[in-house]
Amino acid sequence: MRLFFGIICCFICTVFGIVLSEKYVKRCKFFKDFSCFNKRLISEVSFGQKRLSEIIEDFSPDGDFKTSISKFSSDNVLPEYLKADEKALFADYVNGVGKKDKETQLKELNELNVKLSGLSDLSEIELKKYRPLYIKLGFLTGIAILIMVI
Amino acid sequence: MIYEIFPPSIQNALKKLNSDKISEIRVRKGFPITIKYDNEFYFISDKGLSGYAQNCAVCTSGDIEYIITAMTDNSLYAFNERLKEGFLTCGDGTRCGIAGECVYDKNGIVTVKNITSLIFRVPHEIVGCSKKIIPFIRKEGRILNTLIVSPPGFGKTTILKDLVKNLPQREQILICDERGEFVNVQGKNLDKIAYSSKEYVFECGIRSLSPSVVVFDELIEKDWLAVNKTVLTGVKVIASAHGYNAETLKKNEYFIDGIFERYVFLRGSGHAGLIERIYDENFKEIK
Repeated sequence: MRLFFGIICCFICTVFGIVLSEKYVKRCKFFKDFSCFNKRLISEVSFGQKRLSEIIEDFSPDGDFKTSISKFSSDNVLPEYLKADEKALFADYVNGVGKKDKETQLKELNELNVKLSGLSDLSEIELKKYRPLYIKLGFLTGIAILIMVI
Repeated sequence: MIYEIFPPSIQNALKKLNSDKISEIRVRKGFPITIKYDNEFYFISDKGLSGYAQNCAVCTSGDIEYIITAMTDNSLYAFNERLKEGFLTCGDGTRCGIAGECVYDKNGIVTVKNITSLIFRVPHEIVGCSKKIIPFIRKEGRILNTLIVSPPGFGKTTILKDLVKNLPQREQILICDERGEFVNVQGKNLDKIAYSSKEYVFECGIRSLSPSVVVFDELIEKDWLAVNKTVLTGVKVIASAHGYNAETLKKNEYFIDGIFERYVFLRGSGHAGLIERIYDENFKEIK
């Protein structure tokens, strides 16, 4: 009975570790989508000339980024896992995009492209670093509880 | 009239007015908004109209940004070519002239920035305003090459819009809608090429769409050669141009004699589309 209880605790702690690390998965996807959207926008501004609303609508990866960019102008709500400076960057992006002429817009989007690629890479490094760590820590905590219980 | 493009404060004032009487709205940064209402200029105030600038709200750069963002659906970059030409067009065909700082590179104008003035020309459909012209521009069942001439704001585009609807149904009409002002003009014998140059309409439109009549609005210097080429193909042309009278029109160095068979001069009486005089190809008045 104790062994069974200990195994359950071990399982719950591991799942807890997975849940805690989920924000790194979401952050990574958010910045990947952000960077991808920015690249698509650069292409549209340069050649396609599609309206911003159409570009957002056609942007295929659903997720927090698409929800945020679609609704930000009306509700100003951003995911909790973003840091304050990242929220400010996103807000500046949404407030600035579409309001400049082609040349200025392209210049700004290209400058931002480097920054967004950096953020995307950084969030991927964080994901690779912290997700296994959280899972291992959860599992180890579970093992510790199991040992204590036995 | 699309009210939604204006900030709420201006929208509220405009909604108190009879939209049929609004012909121009002049938005200038740092000054009250001027409106041409029932052919007189007023300022926009909270109550609607005012004859005095005092107590009228002053237009801010934020208001101008709001209007441009709304007009371009938050996608100003997609309207750069029109911006370079100095105008934007609303969804209903209302033309907005733009004044600001032109930015150049070695290839010419790149964009217009720091926009300080937006001048809206509100189009009004005057049903049947071209009917008086039609008997003069037809001869033995065919359409004559016609030029409608007046200073700005006398209703040239209004007449052209009505004219294309009243031409015989057998005519296949191609409209060169350079500024998107013919957005609501439709018909089973009408084709439109929007936001294109007259040169493009001559080179591609006439070859591929084989019209019998081509309509050009507001000929400027560089357009006369394209129009001349069109006439030489045998396709009939109905066009408009800025001018005051026959003498001033002929004095323009770009004027090519012999293109048009009828010249219709409009009267500036405050009501769009009234005819002052009609001349034949030799500038003899037709009565």
